[in-house]
Amino acid sequence: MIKFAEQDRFFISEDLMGLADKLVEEKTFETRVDFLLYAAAYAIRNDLSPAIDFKRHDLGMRASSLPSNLKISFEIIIPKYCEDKSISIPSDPKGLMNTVCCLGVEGARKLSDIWKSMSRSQKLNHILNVEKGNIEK
Amino acid sequence: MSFVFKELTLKNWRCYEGTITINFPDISQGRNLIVVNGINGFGKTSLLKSLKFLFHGTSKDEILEAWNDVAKSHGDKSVTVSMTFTHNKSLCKIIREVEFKERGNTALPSESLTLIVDGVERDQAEDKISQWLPKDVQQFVFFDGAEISRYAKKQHDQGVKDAIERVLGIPAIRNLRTDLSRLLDNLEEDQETLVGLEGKSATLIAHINELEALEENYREEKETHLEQKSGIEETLSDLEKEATKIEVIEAERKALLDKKARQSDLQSDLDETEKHISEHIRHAPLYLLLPKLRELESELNAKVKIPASHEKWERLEIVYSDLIENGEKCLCGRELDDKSERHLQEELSKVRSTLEKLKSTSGKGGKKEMTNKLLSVSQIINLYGENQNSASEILRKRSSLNIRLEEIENDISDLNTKLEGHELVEVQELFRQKADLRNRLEELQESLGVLKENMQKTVDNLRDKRRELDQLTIDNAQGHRLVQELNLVRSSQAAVDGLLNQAIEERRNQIEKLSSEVYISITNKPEEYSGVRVKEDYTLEVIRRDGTSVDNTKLSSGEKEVLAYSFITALNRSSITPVPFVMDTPFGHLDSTHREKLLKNLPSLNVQVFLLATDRDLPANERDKIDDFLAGEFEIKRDQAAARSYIEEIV
Repeated sequence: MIKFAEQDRFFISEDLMGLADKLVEEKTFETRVDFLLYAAAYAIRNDLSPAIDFKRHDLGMRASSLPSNLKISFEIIIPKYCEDKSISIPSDPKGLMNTVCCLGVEGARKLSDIWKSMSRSQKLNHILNVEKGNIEK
Repeated sequence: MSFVFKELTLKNWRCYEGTITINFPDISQGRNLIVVNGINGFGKTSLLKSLKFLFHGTSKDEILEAWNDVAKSHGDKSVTVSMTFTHNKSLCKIIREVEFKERGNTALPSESLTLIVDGVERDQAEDKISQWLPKDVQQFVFFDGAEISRYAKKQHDQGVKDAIERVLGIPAIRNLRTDLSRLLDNLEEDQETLVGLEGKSATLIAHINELEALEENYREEKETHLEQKSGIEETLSDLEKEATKIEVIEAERKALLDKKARQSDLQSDLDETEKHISEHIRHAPLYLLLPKLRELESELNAKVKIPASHEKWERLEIVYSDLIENGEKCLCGRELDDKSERHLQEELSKVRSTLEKLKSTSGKGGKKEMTNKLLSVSQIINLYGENQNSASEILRKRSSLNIRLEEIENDISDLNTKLEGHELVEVQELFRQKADLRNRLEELQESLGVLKENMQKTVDNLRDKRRELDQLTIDNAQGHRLVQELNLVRSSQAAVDGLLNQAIEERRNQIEKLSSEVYISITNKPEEYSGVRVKEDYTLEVIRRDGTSVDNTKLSSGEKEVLAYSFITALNRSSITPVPFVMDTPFGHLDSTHREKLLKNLPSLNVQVFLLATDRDLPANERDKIDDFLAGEFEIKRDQAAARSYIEEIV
């Protein structure tokens, strides 16, 4: 099983930096990486393919900062998800980080559309309801 | 009934050109309402003014204004208002006429008044009429309904107070007292002349004069004290009202503190809930991944079971190997031929190939890894699957906390608005003022007690000295008669003094009782109010059920009108000479409920009631309701081409 390398760092697309900063500023998420990982999970939940061809922006946080359960979940799910989607299965930690971040970017773009006219409170409600399966998107 | 209007004649009076006569119908028991309908501008107020003019005249300017324009242009130079009425069973007629005499370009009015009682013309008509209906009393019987609320003022001027007392017959008693005092003074002067100003009698008279002066001083001092006391009591009453308000404010201030404490608790709860939400959001990806993790768990569970088949292949390998390597016989006991051995070799190769494949995918190392994965996945599912429902709990809690916080913020905002401008310092100042005034009141009461004692001593002393003087006077027959007269007048004066106070008190109580009855029967808030208080100066206060009074300025215009109407009707019913009631636009500010109740009340008045009403005052449906109390109905019409109004009876 491919695991995250502790020193590898998360990244996001430049076009999403504004949204990520706003979400942190309004305290919807504590960090931009929290938003990225939520977006990656959202992409997996909604069967999206990883984003490609975007300008990366280093978020400065290392994989070591991830909660272990979340780290393990991605490590276990990503190869299977890639296999099911017939996309390249990561073969090393960098590939795993790359896949998670690209899925995050794709998920974040979808969420950006859904959340564009929502208040913080509405976004939180959306997040908590999506995870319960009450809202699919 | 003291007064009953029979016939009114107007000549060239304001909008009524020529002569018009209105015969008022007889009124019988329970039918005392006479309605005169008229739209604005047709002449209702002119009718009201004609009555005021008839009884008490008017100014030169007003009479010039009252001269009908058409009559003036036709050279008809007289204006007349006359009324036939019964008064205490006598048939009376008042004629007030004005002749205009030309002097240069101006017309000079010359007024004459005639009073005929039972066919005989009487002298001093003005005085006689004034006795029947004093001018100051006019405002309580002929009035504009729209202005009636002015009687609900916080203070009356002396004129109004005197007029009220006149209606109640109090001046007659006061006059009697004055006459008696004057008589007593004359008798005492006679006594002084009789006894002479020498020797013992001179000393006694000097002493009596001193005592009288002293008594007068005490009386004045007492009046001043009583005025001060009354002022302080009024201020204290105002302060008490203010204190009641402040008590409410203090309760609100406490409520505000409680609300703020509750707000702080709720905010802490909300902050804690927000923390839980943040924590939940941090783990949100895991909740989203749960379905995928569950899928993986099923797959891994399936894969971890492979070792059973794995062992089967291993056992086969062993069996085939044994057969090939050690056994020359088959399991069934037959010897193996070459063909069978080749077959076994092929089967063994297949088994080994399968085993190789199995080992490459799920060999001992793969199995361990899968088991580890399965354990991790199961742990995560167990951990987060159970917590999944807590999100809705947290959301519910946050929503409920937000609603409660919003409510409490609104309450706080309302309370802050109410408390604006009410500083704690004000409260302390108010209580200090109250304490000061109470002290002053106590001092005054003490001083009044002392005054009363001194006055009593002086009065006793005066009585003794007068007795002594009476003894000196009684020496001869003239003196004896004089002393008898003096004693008679003195005892009469004492009786009148008592009667005056008693009469004032009784009359005021009676008005208060009647006003309260009428007010409660008309007000829209009979459960809130208990009645009306008529104060010493005849100003009015509405009293609540709890005994507190309502500030008149807080009453609506309609409520003021009801209060004033209650007082005026009570006054009329208490009057020694009740006069017909004439109300122009009677229901100025009243809503339909008040109007209906007031209409029901009018028949209870034991006088003619004239309602000069527009269609708004008395709509058709309400007019029908008073049908049983209606003595007659008139309509003011207008010939607009001739610019003259006239009145027709509606039959």
